[in-house]
Amino acid sequence: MNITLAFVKKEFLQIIRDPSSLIIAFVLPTLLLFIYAYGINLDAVNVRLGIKNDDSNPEIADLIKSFGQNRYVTSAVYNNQNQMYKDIVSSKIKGALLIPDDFSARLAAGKQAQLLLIADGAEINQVSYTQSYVSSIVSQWLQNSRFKSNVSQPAVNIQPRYWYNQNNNARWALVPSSLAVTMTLIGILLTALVISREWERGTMEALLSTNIKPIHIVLGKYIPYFIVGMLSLAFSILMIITLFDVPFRGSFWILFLVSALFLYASLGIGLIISSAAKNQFLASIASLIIGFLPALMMSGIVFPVKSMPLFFQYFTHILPPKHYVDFIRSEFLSGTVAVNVVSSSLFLLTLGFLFSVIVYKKTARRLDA
Amino acid sequence: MTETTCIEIKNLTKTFSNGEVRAVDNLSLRLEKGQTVGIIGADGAGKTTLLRLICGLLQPDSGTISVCGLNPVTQKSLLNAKIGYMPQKFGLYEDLSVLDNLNFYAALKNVSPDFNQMLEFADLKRFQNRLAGKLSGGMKQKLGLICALMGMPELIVLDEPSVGVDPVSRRELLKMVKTTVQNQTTVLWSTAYMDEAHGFDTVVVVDRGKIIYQGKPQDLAADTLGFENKVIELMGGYAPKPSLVAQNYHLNGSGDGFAVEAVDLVKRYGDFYAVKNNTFHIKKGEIFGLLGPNGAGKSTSFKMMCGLARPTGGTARIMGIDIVKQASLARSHLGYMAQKFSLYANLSVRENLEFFAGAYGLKGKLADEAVSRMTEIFGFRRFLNDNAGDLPLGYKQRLSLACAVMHNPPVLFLDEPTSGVDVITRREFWNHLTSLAQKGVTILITTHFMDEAEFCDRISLFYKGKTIATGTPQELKRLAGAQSMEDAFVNLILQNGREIS
Repeated sequence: MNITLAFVKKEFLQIIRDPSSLIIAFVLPTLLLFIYAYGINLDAVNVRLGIKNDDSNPEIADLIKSFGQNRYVTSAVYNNQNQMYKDIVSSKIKGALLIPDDFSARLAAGKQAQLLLIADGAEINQVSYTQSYVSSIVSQWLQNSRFKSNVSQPAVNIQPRYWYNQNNNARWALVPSSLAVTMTLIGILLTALVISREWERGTMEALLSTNIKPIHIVLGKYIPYFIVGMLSLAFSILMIITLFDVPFRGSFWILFLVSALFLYASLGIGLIISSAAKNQFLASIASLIIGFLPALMMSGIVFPVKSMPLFFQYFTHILPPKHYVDFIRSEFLSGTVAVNVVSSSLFLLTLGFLFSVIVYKKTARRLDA
Repeated sequence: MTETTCIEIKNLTKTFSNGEVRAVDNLSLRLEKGQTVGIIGADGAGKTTLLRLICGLLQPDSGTISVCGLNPVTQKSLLNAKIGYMPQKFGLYEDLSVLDNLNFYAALKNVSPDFNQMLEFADLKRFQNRLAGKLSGGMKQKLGLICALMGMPELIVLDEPSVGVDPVSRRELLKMVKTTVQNQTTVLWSTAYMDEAHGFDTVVVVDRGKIIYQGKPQDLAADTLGFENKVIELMGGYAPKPSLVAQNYHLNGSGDGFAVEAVDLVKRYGDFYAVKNNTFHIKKGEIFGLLGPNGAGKSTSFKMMCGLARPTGGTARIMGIDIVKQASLARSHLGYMAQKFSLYANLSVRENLEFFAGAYGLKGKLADEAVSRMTEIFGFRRFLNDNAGDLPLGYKQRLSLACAVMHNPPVLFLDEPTSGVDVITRREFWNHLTSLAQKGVTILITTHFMDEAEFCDRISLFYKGKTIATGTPQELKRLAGAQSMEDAFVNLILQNGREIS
């Protein structure tokens, strides 16, 4: 017990002396949260649209004006069609709308009127946004124009309701689940270097010549970084709630309990990397590839797990972040759901335990075995 | 095994790389309690492996070991409580303070954390809150030693504790061990310093994984030099051959005048003067030794003189060219061997040689010639495709020298080129150096081996950033009123107020 305590104390001293652990624990999550909150935007994209109007009807001037009033669209009116095409090529505008000279005449006659929308197909996301912006602006204008009576009403009107996130605000969904990436990265980065460091600096040899047992080393590495990780987690959650106004509808106790299990599993991965790689460089590269990439790509934060090939859907189960994402989304936005909590916790606990057994087995007893 | 036996080893074998390398080869050894045992041998002879096997840090392939009546393989944790081990890298946490390190090891060893006496004795008390990484080489060694000596171990195992340590600090290390050990304590001390080994109760000479001599050092020879010659003889002997390096050296621009001049060199970090004022003039073809305790500012002077660090004041001239104004031109006349191994550890020997040939501007056929010349001269043939980082220390140093002399520079700067290198390799090294000097190459060298200092034409004794004495070895000995160079060194340093910094 004394030895474990001494080890934990030593580790804490090293954490304090070496600012890099504290940077990982507190600066990194801040940075990542801001990237998730402001850098990644799945909602609206601002589109700059060129408009060339060949229809002299004054009503159409209203239509053009309403393009200028939309918050997602900025418009530029062209007289020269070729110039407009050139500006698409040079990316000055992302789309071009052509209003033919018979547009208002056909509407007035109750016939189908046509608009030509040209968009930059190299950016597929933008294409669909542009299309939906244009059609919603046009139909809104139509409702208020004098051609209203000439247009038949659609047979079905779908009323969407987005539960837990009425405004379909992507930030609400993204920011809490980004915790899964942040905490994986922190958990793994904090520990990935700490055993390889002992090898690289030759202190492992001195340690192994003393009374120290593998269990002391394992506990001595888990405990301090668990504490630092939990502080970092609390700090991130505080930021999410205060800075980004994401509602928290669950229970803080449950949030911290499941997060603790998640951190336990992440630290395990870091320690496995660290005891396998005997130099720090290898360990840090391995932790990025093993830790960060799957957490980002395969946890369901950005790409839904259900749309992956079946094999990868099963594979995601051995990734702690996947279970944590499932849990953290519902905990924040819909409140505690017992089934989610239990299944995520069981998975995380099993993975964490499995990892710590591997860490224990891999912890050196001698220099050669 | 009797009551008085400390270590008994029978037919011990340990191999690495799937049996390709036999580090310890069917070795048997018996050591009595209460002795101080010097372990000496060539680089790669298996000394470190043997010590690690004794501490239970490695598992033997075959054979038996008994240490303090325990088996290191099966009873490692019982045994560890009885051993104080100091590995070659000392095992200190450089980002923890002196006191933190001591507290940590005291807790691991279940010893009461009372080190005042030891700290006073090692003169580390004043530095107890300093980070271990910020200590000078000699002080790190002392701190590592205190950690190893904690808790009165029955067996103290020290793996080259005095590598790269100046004579004053080496005497202090020895004194620390001598005052700590009791009658029954056994000390295993591996060393490259023959004078050190000559003073021990027993020496064990290891060669190619086997023990080729065990007995009292005085039985081999009464004095240090005789002892060194005997050890070299045991290890296969060394007959000085004409130096191929010197024979193949193409030197241009010899003649009279100074090859290297340092003029009022000053280096200041903040308000700390690493070098206060260094002035000397080295004639062409001279071997000039820069001696001094760890942390005196030798390496800093070196770095300024090769243009690797910018002087705060003053300048240096290499072959008359100002190093501050025309750094790269001055450097082209220079071969530099750094204190730390500074070649590419994960490139092969051949690739390192080829790279440096290229870096010195040798192209095509000239480069090929230079590489094969170096390969022949230094005997790299069998290592050509091995990674430089895996070479035995002696060969690493040979490779560093090869890379430094490849472009036939008229001036060589060698910073502790023989630290940790075995006696035979050192003799070979000095054979090259003296032959090169005869040919007109100017050599500036630092060393902690006082026997090597005797080979220098002139010596500058450097201390606390200042030159405290300059002259031939004889002049310095006369000045200090000492018989040996080592005594002269210690006396002169003490006269100038020894204070560890």
